[in-house]
Amino acid sequence: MSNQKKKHFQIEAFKHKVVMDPKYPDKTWKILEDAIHEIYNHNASGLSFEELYRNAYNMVLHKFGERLYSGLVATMTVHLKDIAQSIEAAQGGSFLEELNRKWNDHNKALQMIRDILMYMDRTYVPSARKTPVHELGLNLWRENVIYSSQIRTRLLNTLLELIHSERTGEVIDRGIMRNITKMLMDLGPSVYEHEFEKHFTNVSAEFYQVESQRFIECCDCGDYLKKAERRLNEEMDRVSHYLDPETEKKINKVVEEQMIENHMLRLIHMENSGLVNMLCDDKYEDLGRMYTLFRRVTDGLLKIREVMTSHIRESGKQLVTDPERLKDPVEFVQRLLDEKDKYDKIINLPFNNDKSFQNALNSSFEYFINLNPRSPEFISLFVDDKLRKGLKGVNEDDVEVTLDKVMMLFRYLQEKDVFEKYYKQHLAKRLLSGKTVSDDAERSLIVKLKTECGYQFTSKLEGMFTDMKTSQDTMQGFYASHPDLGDGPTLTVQVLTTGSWPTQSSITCNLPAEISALCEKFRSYYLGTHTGRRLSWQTNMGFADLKATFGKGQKHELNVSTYQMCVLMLFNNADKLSYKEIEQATEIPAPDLKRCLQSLALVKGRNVLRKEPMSKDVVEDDAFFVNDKFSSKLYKVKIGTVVAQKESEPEKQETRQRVEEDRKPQIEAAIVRIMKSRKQLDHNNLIAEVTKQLQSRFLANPTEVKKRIESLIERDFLERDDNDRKLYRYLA
Amino acid sequence: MSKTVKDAIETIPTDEINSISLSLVRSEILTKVIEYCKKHNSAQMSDVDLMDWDVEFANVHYTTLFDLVLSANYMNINCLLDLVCGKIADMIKGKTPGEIAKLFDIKDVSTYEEDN
Repeated sequence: MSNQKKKHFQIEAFKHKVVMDPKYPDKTWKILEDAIHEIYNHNASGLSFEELYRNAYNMVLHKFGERLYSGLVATMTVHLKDIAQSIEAAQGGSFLEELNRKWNDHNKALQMIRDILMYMDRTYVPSARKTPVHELGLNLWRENVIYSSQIRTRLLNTLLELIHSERTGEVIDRGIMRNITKMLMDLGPSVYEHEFEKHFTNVSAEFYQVESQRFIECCDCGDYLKKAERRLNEEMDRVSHYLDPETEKKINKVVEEQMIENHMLRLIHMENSGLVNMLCDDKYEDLGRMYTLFRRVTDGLLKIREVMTSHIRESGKQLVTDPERLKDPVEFVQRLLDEKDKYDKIINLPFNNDKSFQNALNSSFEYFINLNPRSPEFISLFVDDKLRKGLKGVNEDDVEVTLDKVMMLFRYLQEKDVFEKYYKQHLAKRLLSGKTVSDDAERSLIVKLKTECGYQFTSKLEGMFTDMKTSQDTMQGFYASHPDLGDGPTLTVQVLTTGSWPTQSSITCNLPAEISALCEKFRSYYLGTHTGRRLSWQTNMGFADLKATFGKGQKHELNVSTYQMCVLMLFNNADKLSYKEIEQATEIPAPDLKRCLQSLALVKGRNVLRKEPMSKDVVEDDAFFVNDKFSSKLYKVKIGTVVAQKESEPEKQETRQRVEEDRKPQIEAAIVRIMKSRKQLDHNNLIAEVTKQLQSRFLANPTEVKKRIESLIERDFLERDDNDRKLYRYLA
Repeated sequence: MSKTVKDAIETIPTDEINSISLSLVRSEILTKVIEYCKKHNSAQMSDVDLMDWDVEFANVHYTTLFDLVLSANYMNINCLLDLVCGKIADMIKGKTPGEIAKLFDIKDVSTYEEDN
């Protein structure tokens, strides 16, 4: 198929003739041009769509598309220039309205024109790579109207002015604003941004900078936050009503930056109304507002958390080091619980249960509770008080709640083994004096401790309960097998397994004859069934109920300690006894005896004995008589109960020493355990591992650990490496 | 189906639209177009049957085909346009220029004007 000229086919067109005179394109274009004029002049109704369409169709078909297109561009441009002029001429307020109206007109016209020129749009435009009609219309509008120098700046200024008025409280026409911004958005993605949004955010930043400065000078923190919140809501409202949704996050950022971020620290630290005041006064609403607002800003919450943490630590530190507070341990612990409750509520409500805040709270509490070395003791005393009388009459659920709260404080303790020691002491006293309010509550707390610290922690405590139960059974057995003792004094013995109970020094005294005989009977009974055991009487821990008849015939039942019983029983056989005689007869150690006699003779309302001379102290030369004038409103009189008290200084030292002693084997056991599994380990890592293992009981002192290591080396459990002095090896 | 007609109705606002003139379309051809549109709008037949019907419909003299093409183009009915152009394309396929000229009765093949 090789020919010089290109062949192509021409399909014979219409059967009817089409006029192909040279004036054809001009004539046809004229028709269309006039039509466009009519359309722009709102005279479209007189036109025939089909005729215009056909004309445009023919022009394109006969290859006059170029003419048609350029004609369109020219005509439109002319019209748009007119329109621009009329908009420029508009006065003041009607400027936007005029613009809006002309824009709507233009759109309608454009649509009609596009439909008429549809064929050109479909065929000529793509092949000639021209802009489609609709887009062309928008571009021409943009170039001739919006970018016209007068209109451009005037439009922007008008919009910004209106927004400013709205911000200062005036009402503006939001509908028009909506239309104008939509127009900008329709004109192209960057038109809205460059013609309006960019300037909008800048102006807004300035506005809010000024406003925030004004507010912060004259408002307190709570008010300022309210205002900031209101402004933020306003801006969101503004965006939703007449701005592009994309603008929302930009304007939010502006407001947040100007109103919140720039003044964050000043707000937090504001005197009399800042964060610390809000915390102290439980200002939930203000705190909640501060939280939600600061959350929007980087580091906002961090700052709040920092200040809160240091405040809690500071006030907590004051609390635990205030000598006044430390006088009453129960009050002290109650204060701690109240503080915890307060902050739990704050974190729960206004701070949205934020985990990081909860953690900050926990670490602060842990910090200051451990500042006071007596905290473990005090917490144990608090529990003791509750279990003796505080929880009397309280229903089960509330008991649980209280105990759970105590457990929370317990978790903060670093020296849990100190707590264990005191708790054991206090529990022993409670059990032996029968002074516990609820057995269930006691056991419940033991369970909680076991869950928290493991079986080891509570095994001895449970042993104490077991001993109490066993003793009951033993007593039943004893009396069952000795029916002849029904008439004599009733003996109740608690047999305590030595390892479980806190160790006490046991110096026995001389019991009255009746009692000691009875005790011996019990001893032989017990050893009959439990050979190989040894019983020793703890006379400093028992108590007795005595029936007494005084001079005027008044009868009373006296509840006294064992020592007191021994002393009083002596007066069955003598009216007057000197201190020395009493001491010899009873063999009670001197300090205990003095205290005992003091409680019998010198306490008002309890003075069953009379002392001569009536001085306050008990000295060797004192003489004692039964106080025949003793009277009391009650039949049963309790004398000198042994209540758990805060330890005196020497006692405290002693307990602490014992705790330290107990720690040594625990440290050694940990070291051996670790070395056995690792075979060899360097010094620093060993210390770290040991500390971690013992963490749940106490904070291991690195110096002490080092000493233990040395000791183990001496005893050939470990050895040092010859080359590296810091490396240890396990010796099997 | 015809976009042009649709626009004619919608675009220029007239109070009453009694008639729309389609001066480029002969009445015979318009009849065929209407027949086509009715058939495709009712969609009572299955796709296979519809295709068979289309083949039947397009089996006409080539002059009618050409007229149909122009009309469909003018009236902006895409599916009809595709159908008829397809038929013409089938007719042209595989033929030499000479054969095509004979088929369509094109005179003066050797002399023609170049279009711009």
